[in-house]
Amino acid sequence: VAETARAHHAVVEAVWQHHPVAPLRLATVYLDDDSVRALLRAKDVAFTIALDRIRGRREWGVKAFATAQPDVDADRGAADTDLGPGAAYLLRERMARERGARTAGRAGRGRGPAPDLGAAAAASRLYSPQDPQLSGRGEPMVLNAAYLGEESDAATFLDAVQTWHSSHIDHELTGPWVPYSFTSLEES
Amino acid sequence: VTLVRNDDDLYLIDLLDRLLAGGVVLTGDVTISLAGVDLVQILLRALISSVATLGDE
Repeated sequence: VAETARAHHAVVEAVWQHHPVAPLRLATVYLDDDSVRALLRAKDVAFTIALDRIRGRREWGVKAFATAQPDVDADRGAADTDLGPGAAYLLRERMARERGARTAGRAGRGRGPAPDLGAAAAASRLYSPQDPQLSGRGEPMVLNAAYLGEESDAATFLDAVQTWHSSHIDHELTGPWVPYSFTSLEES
Repeated sequence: VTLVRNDDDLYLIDLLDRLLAGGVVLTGDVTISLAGVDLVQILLRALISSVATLGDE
């Protein structure tokens, strides 16, 4: 799988240098060229919409780790006032998870919006937090999200993430990525 | 905020997040499917979770 993923990614990256790309999900197989032609004809409009959405944009990954264990009950009220909106969101998420009250909507992988970054991101998407064994860090991951930002203006995006800074949370950024997370076709 | 230099293993994990959950999904065209779920996806997920389990031993 690792080799396939790297090969897939290498092709997507290479084409991205010249054109926006809407990659199909890994391991989507077409048996012949005619099937591909038929697909492109059938989904012409949807592909155009997807490509317009990501043109000139890049994806950034934002992961957040809870570095300190806040006193959950005492901080409950304070969370919204002392911290920025991003950090407050993460703390609420964490508290909800600890109470085992994760809502059904959030449980789905790769669904729903991530905490708002305002104008800095055109779109966002939430992934499941990675296991500490995979993340390579001992602290629990409280956010694993992808954001779609302007390719020419990475600084605005980075500044927006910076505003989430808090003593309880450490953020990791990855990217820029080809916007894999934002190429789903709108069904019409 | 730490901007992570793409360490190879971490990079692969983030890449798989995107490749397995992102990208264009054409459910109508997938022939190898069970109850509307793409079998290839299930197999890849199963493989990845078993790799994660291997790490425990």
